[in-house]
Amino acid sequence: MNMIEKTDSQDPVLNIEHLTTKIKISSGEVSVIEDINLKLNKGEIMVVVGESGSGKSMTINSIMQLIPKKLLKGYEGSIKLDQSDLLTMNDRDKWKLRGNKISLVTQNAMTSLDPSYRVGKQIVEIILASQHVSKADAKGKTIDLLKKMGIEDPERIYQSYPHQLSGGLRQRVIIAMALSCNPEIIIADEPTSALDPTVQLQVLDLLKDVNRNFGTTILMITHDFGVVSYMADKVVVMYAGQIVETGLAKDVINDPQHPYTKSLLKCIPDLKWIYSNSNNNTSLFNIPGEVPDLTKKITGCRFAARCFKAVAQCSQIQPELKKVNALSSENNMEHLSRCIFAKED
Amino acid sequence: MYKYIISRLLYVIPVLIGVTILVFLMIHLIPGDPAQTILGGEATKSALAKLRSQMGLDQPLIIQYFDWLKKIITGNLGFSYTLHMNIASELLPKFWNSIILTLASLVIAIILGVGSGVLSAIYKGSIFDKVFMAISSIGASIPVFWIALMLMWLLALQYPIFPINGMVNMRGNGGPLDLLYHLVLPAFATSLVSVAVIAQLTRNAVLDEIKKDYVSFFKSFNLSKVHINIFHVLRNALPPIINIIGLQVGYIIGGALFSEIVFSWPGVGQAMYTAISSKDYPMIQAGILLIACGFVFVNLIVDIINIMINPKLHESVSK
Amino acid sequence: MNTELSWGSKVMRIFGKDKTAALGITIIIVTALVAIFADWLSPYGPNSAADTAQRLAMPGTAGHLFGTDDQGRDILSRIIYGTRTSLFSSIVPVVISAVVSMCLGIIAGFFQGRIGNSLMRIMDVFFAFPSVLLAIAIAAILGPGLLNVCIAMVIVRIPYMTRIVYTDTIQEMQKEYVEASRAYGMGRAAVMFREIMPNVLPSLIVYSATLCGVTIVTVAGLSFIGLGVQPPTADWGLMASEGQNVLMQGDPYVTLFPGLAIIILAFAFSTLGDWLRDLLDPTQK
Repeated sequence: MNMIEKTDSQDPVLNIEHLTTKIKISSGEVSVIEDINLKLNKGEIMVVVGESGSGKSMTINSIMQLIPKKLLKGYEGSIKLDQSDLLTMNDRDKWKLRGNKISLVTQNAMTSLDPSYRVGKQIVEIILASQHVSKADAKGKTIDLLKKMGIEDPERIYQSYPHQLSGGLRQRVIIAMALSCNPEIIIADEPTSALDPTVQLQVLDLLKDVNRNFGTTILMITHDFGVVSYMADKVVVMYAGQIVETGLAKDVINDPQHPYTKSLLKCIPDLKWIYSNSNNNTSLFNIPGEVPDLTKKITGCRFAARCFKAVAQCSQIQPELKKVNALSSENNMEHLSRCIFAKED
Repeated sequence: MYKYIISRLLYVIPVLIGVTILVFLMIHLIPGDPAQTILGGEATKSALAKLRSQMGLDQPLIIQYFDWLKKIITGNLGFSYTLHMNIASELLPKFWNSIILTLASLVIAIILGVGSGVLSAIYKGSIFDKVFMAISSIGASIPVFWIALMLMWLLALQYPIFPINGMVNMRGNGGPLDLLYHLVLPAFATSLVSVAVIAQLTRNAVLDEIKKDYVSFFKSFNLSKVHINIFHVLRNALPPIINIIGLQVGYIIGGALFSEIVFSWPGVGQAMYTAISSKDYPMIQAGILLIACGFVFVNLIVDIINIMINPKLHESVSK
Repeated sequence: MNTELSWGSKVMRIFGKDKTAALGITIIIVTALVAIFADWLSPYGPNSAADTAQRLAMPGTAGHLFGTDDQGRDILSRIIYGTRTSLFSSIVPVVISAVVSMCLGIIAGFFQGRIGNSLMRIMDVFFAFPSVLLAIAIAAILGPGLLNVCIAMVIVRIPYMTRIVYTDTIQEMQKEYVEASRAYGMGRAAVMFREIMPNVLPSLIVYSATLCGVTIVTVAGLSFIGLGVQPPTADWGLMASEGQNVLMQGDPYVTLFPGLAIIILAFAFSTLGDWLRDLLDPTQK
């Protein structure tokens, strides 16, 4: 198995600039995410972290273009996948990218496979849809993929229906499907939140293996900072549709600048603790208050109402993302924070 | 899977026994002497006595039942004292004609009902969806005989596009096209209510499936929408759709009785209509028995299809 | 969500939201009023055909909004009087079979075992008949007439309704309150009819409302065959059937209007059923 070098010399695989997504609501429109900038180089793992309502799901739905037309008001900015902008591309070209360049690993392992077909057939279906190979080759490839997913008896799993498999196995099958057309980037939507704690770690390890062995770039979202510290090269912390802090994972974890990040980190002190507790992760959040309602106008910092550090100024002026003093010497990734108290570079 | 199919097959036996008992008892439930009922008020005493011994009415009921059952199984459906002929030779060809009409109606109901239900679901909220669903919510309440009469008035009398009645053109040389031409109006009249009901339920079933996680997961690959809708959404919506089609078969069989009467389609329904007005009870009995057996058979097929398309009833993969 | 809302405002809320239901319920109320006040509302008697010159008058003829039939009787008046048989023959059989089915279903569900199973196996035999066919068979045996049609409808509906009560009862039996009330020493009959019945009643009511609509259509069909209401009673099914001969001569109106009346009332009952389902059991939709 060859290690693929993580380099930054090339252009980013995924480059999102100033992305704003607007959704129709009964009283007009609302920007569910605002001015999002993300840059992912080949072979990197970026984790977007935030509570539900933070806009992290909307970010990946925008990238995958899975927001129903009925709901979507429009996009601003750009989502560049290998230099070509998804937002200006026609539907046909966009459609060709699916599975081939970019694919999704979904959150609900239990329900994301079609219950009526054997899982092997479902992978074969995806392969046949985008590659000119014979059925027999597709089957061979599928068995091979299942084996690479750490499945011991791929032949049997190939012949199984989803209801006959455990959640962990189903998630492995889903990852195999996502990888079946050799995508450059995998978008993983809370891939472990529906699984048992012990299985969660196995799936995270599998994703790390995939990243290492296939060189696949991974963009993952989670509400769990434990996952960030376990997986991420880069981290993006989102709150109420905005990026509030971003940087190299080690910088953000060792020297968090935004009070929200600090609160999140305080919630999850130790990864081992999570996996030794079978509690649902959502209960780990104990930041008082709720994510604000985006349909109402917010002046000032969006986190101010729940912030332990907030001063009067916070609810008046909306802070900008600003560069803070990065700990690490690698300067390819700036450490940014959207807080007036962040120490400046 | 075979385990389920076999147990379903075996279940037909008690049901058929129940059906024959019920149909047998029909004539005996009529107050008064069955022989008198069958022959009518003006029957002579000797004729009554002859019929009594013929039918074995002097025997205990249970013996009568088994005698009757033995005859039925050998294809002897009894004797019509009104028509003075063997019921089997009269009714069996008509039963075949009824099957043609029922199957044609069923095919129309399935194609139009499932097709429009799926389109309504996919284009939910569109004008087609709204108009079609409004029509079908009313359509489910239309009496078959009324829509048959109205279709006949409009498309056979006012605008004589289709024939008024019959199954073939008596003076023509027949052929399948002629049959099809005669089939259009009765089959449509029979199926319209079922089209409405099947469309509504198909729409709901598809809408239930379309919002499931696996659909959005499959959409994230480069599979076409049509492909996903047919091979995944519709495939998984099939069990409820097949169930409702199975239920509708009963309504279509019942509706065909009325269409046959209106359009003089030479089937069991029409024969029973004549038999009811002439109080030809053995004929009514035989007609009901035939239709009920047909219905039991159709239900069996529907259930077997449902077993076959349910992966949870398939044998688990051996380790 | 709206548990704190009062029952009345809940009714109004759903009523206001669901315009189809509002329409359906209005139709049923109006039909009931028409049935009660038919003698005052109707321009002519149901069988008054004094004016023989007015046979087969076209709709819109002065004094005859919907025209007249082949005997010169005013169609509108007969439709107005027909509300009586239609409402009677749809509601009464359904109510009777609902009461019978409630008892049978709860008993079968409560005792499951031998009593319940054999009762439900007997019901299965009835499912082997298309319901219209069974109604025709029973009505043909009993002979024509409104009462016999109603008896036929009761027998036909019981298996369907019993099955609904039976499956609901079995579900209720697994809940804790049943065991608890048995533990308190409550008698079997009390558990069945004081504890279980209120919980299985809503779905039976919903189904009954829907069945009223279906029953109107079926009864009209029986009238068409000649097994239902006998002439000269004003009955929608019979009227539509009597228009057959005239229709062959090119005049569809004698059949058209009574048929529309059947469809409108049946539709109203089916929307009532949908509305009750939303009201009583919002989870089922």
